[in-house]
Amino acid sequence: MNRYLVIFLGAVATVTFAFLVLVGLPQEQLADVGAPAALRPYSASEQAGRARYVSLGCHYCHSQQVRTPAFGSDSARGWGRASEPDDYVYDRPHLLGTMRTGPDLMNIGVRQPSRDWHYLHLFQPRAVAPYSVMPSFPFLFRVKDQAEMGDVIVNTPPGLVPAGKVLVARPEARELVDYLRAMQHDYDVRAAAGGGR
Amino acid sequence: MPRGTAPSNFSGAMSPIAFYILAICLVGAIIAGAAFAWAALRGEFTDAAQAAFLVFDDDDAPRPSGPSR
Amino acid sequence: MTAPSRPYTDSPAPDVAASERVAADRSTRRPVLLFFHSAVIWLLIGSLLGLVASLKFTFPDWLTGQALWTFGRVRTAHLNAVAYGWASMALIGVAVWMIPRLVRAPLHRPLVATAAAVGWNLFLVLGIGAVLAGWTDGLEWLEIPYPIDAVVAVSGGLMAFSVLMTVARRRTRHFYVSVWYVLAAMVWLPIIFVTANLPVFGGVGQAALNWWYGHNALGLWITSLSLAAAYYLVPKVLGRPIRSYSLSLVGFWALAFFYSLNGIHHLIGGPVPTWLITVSITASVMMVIPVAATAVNFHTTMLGRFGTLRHSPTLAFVVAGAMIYTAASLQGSAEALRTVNRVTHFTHFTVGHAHLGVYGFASMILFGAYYFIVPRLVNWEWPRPALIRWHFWLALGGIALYFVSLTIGGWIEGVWMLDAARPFGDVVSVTKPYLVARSVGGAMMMAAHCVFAYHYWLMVRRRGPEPQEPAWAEGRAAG
Repeated sequence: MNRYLVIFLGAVATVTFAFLVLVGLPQEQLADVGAPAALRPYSASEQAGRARYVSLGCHYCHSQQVRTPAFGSDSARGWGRASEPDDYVYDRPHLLGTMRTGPDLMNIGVRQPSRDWHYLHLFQPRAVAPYSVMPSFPFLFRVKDQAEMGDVIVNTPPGLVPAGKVLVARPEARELVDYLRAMQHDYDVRAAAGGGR
Repeated sequence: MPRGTAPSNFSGAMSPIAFYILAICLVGAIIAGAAFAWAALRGEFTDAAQAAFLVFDDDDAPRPSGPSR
Repeated sequence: MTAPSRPYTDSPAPDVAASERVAADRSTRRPVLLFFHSAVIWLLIGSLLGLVASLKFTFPDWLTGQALWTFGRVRTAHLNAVAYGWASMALIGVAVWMIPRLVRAPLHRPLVATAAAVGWNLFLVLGIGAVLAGWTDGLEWLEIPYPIDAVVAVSGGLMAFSVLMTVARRRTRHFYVSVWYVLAAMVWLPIIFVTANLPVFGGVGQAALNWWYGHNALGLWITSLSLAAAYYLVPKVLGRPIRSYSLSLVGFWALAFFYSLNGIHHLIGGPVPTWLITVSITASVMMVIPVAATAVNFHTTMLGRFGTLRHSPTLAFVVAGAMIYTAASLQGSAEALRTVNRVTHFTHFTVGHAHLGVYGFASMILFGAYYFIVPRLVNWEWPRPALIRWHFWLALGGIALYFVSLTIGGWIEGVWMLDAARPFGDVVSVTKPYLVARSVGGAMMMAAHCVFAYHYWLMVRRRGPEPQEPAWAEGRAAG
């Protein structure tokens, strides 16, 4: 080939064609995907927690897409019903994830609603799951001598913090747990308006 | 073999989309074929084998001697 | 000195060829060296970050006192440092060096290309710093925040300007195959990068966009430029032209068409339309065509000359890289099949595959390129041949251990994950020994890079004895 134009046009054509097929057409098809009635937008606190989830890189170990039974044991493991495009309308950026070093979190708010469990798990994952390789996030908490007014105290098993000290969740931890508890996608995604969880 | 079709909102949406994709692919293939034919007729590919020797034109490292192809 | 042979009428006379070569190398010296120096430094930084991330699987409470070193950020910093730092800058350096030689015109405005290298480094420092500080766009391969992306967009534009203007002033009638790949890569990267960074998508549409970009960054940027390097270096060192130039044409256009459609194989089983997934699976399997074309081309070119591998470090690295390209691509095609993907998706198997490609293929070819190009830039020879051998075996051994451990561990992980009767904790626990082995492989690669960087430093500082002839006879003995 000795025409730059051939290479230039060919390169533009192939990548544009791929964009149209892989991104453009699906976007068209999904354009009338609306927010399911049962899925409410993230509250301010949940959105802040979601931003922290992203900033700490949680999506590099946790997925947020439940596959159909034909594809895997997702539902059999209690991770919820198969996910649909409608479930993600409020998600920017998307956090579908590509690894399951940890379990899928699409419905973590359904199977684990306990705030205490989440605080404990974030502070020291191996306190609730000895096999876990998840990093600990002690910087989301403070270990204090004495709780003050308004502090969110975490109930800890003995030995996790030095005797006599108290584990307090920082606002960052509270927001993150708000977000995790909001991860509930077990509603009927095709229910008419007014259908609840 | 698992088909992986999620219980989805797309029942019936396959057909019109499939039509558009096939139409675009067909048009694209025709254009690509025409472009290739045009290029071939203009002699773009006649001395392809010779062009392989371009890499030796800078007088650096061994040059194949004689008419070895 | 071989007698001049003029295989076709466009071939320049030897004295003209020599003077053009000298002019080409002189024009590319500064920018290419800057890209090369930078790439080596990013290789060291990126490998170290990778090793830290890997060790955190075995020691999850290590370096957790601050958000700065949490796994999620270190892993991201590693990816960006090795992909946009080491691989991209080294590949650009090789491309910028090759183009003037292949079009027989000096690099247009070398200062602009040098400025591009400075800008690219600025992008990386700001971008990786941002990621470690927690400021991220949240999309894999696209984490560096939008405002900082503007820096690389400008730098890339400057570099492309310099290269394209050089091509415009060419004295050759034809484009050599490496030139097609370089030109196409320079068209592709800006298009995919700018489009993917536009903040107009959300939800699953954005996921599709994310992986259209991610896979194309691998296929249309890293793979393209790596193949460009291989198509130049193999014939050059052997003194033998590519066996079938027509096959190169097939390989190029098939790669362009099929590779770009692969992206959604990262979302198999996910909440996207089934037809979309099928398109990508089909395209992934069709990749066998361009990969086979390339493999046949290189293999037949090498036939009867495999003995040269012993004497040429360049060839050893490049051929290893090219063979791994075939293996990694075939593995990728297999991984895209639904029956296989059911098992391997979301596991360490995928991580093994990704590293086989970017390290076993692209990085090995880049190492080979360094060993060929740097002597011609600094007019010196690699002072310690033994270090090249250490580099080669530590790198190859490292990636072999890395790949084998994650492939086996990931497969078991996937099979166990499919069995709902197995508690998730067991699935995690079964991977642990393989993750330790992976860290050992990573440490070997890190050691290889330290050896390489040290030797590179000795080389560019022109240490060691005045060279009489190349460290390993690069086939010159034949002439």
